Amino acid sequence: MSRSPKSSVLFDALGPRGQARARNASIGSGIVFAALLALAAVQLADQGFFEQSRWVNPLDILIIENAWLPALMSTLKAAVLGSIGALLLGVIVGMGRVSRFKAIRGVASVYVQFFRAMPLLLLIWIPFTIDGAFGATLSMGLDAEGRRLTFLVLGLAVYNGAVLAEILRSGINALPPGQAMAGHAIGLRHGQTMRLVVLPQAVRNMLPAVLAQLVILLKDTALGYVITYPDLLHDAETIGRNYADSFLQVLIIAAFVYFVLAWGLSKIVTLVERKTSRKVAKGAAKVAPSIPLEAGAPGTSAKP
Amino acid sequence: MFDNFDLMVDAMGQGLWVTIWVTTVSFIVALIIGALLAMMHVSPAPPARWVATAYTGLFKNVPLLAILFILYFGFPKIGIVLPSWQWAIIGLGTYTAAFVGETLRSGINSIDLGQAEAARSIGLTFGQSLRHIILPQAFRTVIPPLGSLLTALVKNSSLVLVIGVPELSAQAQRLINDNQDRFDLWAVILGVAACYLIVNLPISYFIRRAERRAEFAR
Amino acid sequence: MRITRKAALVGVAVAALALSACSGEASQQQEAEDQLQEEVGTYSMTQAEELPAGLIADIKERGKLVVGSKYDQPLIGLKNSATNKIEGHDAEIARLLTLRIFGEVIEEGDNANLEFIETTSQNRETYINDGTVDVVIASYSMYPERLDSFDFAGPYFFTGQNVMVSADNEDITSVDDLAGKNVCIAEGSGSIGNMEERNPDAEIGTLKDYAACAESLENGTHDAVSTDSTILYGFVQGKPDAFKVLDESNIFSDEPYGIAMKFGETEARQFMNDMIQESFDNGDWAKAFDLTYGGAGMAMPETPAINDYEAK
Repeated sequence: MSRSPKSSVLFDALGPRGQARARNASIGSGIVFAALLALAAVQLADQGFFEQSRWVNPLDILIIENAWLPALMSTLKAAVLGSIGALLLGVIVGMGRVSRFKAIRGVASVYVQFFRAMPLLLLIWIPFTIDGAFGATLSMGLDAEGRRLTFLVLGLAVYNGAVLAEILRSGINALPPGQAMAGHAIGLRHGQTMRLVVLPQAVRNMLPAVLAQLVILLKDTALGYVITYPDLLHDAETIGRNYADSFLQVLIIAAFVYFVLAWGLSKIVTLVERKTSRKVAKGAAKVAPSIPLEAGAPGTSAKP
Repeated sequence: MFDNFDLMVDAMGQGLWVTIWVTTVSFIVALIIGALLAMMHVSPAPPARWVATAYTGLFKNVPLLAILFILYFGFPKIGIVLPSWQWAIIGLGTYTAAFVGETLRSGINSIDLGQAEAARSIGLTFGQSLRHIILPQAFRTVIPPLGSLLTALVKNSSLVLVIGVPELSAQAQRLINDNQDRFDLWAVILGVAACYLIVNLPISYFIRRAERRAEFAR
Repeated sequence: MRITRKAALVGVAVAALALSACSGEASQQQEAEDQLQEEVGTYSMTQAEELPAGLIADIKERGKLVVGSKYDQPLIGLKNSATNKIEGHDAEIARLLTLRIFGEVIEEGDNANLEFIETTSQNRETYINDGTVDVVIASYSMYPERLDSFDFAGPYFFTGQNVMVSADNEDITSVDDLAGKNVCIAEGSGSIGNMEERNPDAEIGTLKDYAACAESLENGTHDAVSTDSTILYGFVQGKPDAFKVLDESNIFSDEPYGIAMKFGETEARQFMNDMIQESFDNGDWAKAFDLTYGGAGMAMPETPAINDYEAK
């Protein structure tokens, strides 16, 4: 970062008394916090939460092989396919949003407005139900598993496509107009200007925001739950049914796996962000937090 | 299309009502916790920053669905038994709070450094600087992203149907899967889509207006 | 630096998780099940000589029977996470039907002739109508009003709706005591309508399935769970210290389980009725019972009377 964080300006560096006070307050609240945790742990232990069998049963090697790994693969499969779909739709609709033709802009705008107002859950479940009533995919020879994957991916792609379209539009608009003008000035046509001058820079600009959105997409695969797509969360529940004692434990394990996946991907995103923070025109604003992005994630990835 | 129209409208109306008040209360909870988080993010004490970072990291990386399940099925085991709508609010509120905290923190950090320096140079303390100088300005930049968080919250509220809260999407599901086929599929779909549009489009509109005003105010 | 230290921490946690994956009960359970299977023996159901046109002929031609089953009800239809096989009485009926059509049951590999699809109370009707499954065998009751929309073969089992409460609950001893109490029922289940009729003052809350309801009951979030006794039995068997079912005199509905298929498949329905009757006669039904409910201690009831109703 080029400037020092606000926080260090808002307060003077703490003197010895201040440091002592901060230390005491930290220790004090730390003790209270630990006490609460201990209390909860005792309660849980009373109910056998920490019993080894409850944790070991769902992690039996047979179950890992036959349930966890396939579920993980299903989750990743839906995430990857959904991402590809979202990127494709995002580019198409995004270009539509900045098109020279008012009609195209209008259509793209309606698309974005509509699909960003609907909950992803409904975007997945309603097409699935409509298809169920009319049997369209069945005539295409898809089996039940394929159907569920299709509609999960469809919902994810349509919704995140709308979000990515917005990001793309912001990325393009964030470039100083001089860039496009320069392109026209040296005789490039509109299409060429876009392709050779504007888009490469815009893409580099918004890459972090796009990747962050894809991490959100990964988390959203959990919504396959409503059409009983066998993703990680759903299969975790099934395992929990086999071992009624481990219902909560499997949920925690599943949450942990999601955490590792999402967190790991975010780290990669941060690395990518660092590597691509050059080669952009001066004055181009980074796709900034003021862009209303989705699932409540403001544009910047978390700076830990 | 209009078979049992009144029953359908009644059911969806109830669902819409539940969605609206769950969203509203959750948002208020999120704002409160989020404000606390933001202060912890920029606080002088490192442990506060660590907690804020851990909290944010947790909620940003775990799906909301998993969090709702763990709350609903987990916490009663340590003695906290609450009806599902309360867990819905706690889950939605704490989840959204992580993002609110981030947004507010960015907002604080986006205020020009000179403002903070000026505040310090006239002798205001950390708390006073925040309250009188930084936050009021940050507020203006922060409205649009907060608005989009509200939109996201309205949409996320649909998830609480998995812990049994009869909100709008749950009602739509119940109507469509009705055992006796009393309701027309398309009518329900149009209805539920219309409801969400009615709630979310105005919010988007206000976000855009606020964005434009924020630009002028600079 | 900070990244590598955090990554290392996460790596350690993942490794610990992986290492702890030695062996849980799964392998022992497998042995117990295999032993039970051996004790009970194999089915004597044979392939039918003639297969009627329509649904059955389609199934034979396709080479595979696709059955909608529950994956979450112990003793009835439960997916074993260690083997990915569906276990339970409904699943056994499916296997008997497969034997009847194909002469053998192959569940794995490319030549599989039996496939299970997960159905919930909410989506089982949709799946029949849109052809995702050929039949639904999923604790599906042959209510008279349902006979107008689907064809049912059976019943292959007879039970009734009852109420399950915490083992230490003294307040609720009859269905009437449920007034004002939180009762959990699975979304889309017929049990909802039955309860509303039987005791309109009960506060019905829905969750996705009965396993979630059972968990919620254990937590105290709900006061009771109400559905077919067979389903409740499965949960009580799993945790006898946590749950108990109200006395049998409280049973307040008739739940004849049937094999559901598309409306109008009269020949297929009669074919399956014959299969079920055959299983009563040649002892296969008793074997299926011993393998599932019997293995959990339920006393064998009388075989139900097949309802060969007039085609509508």
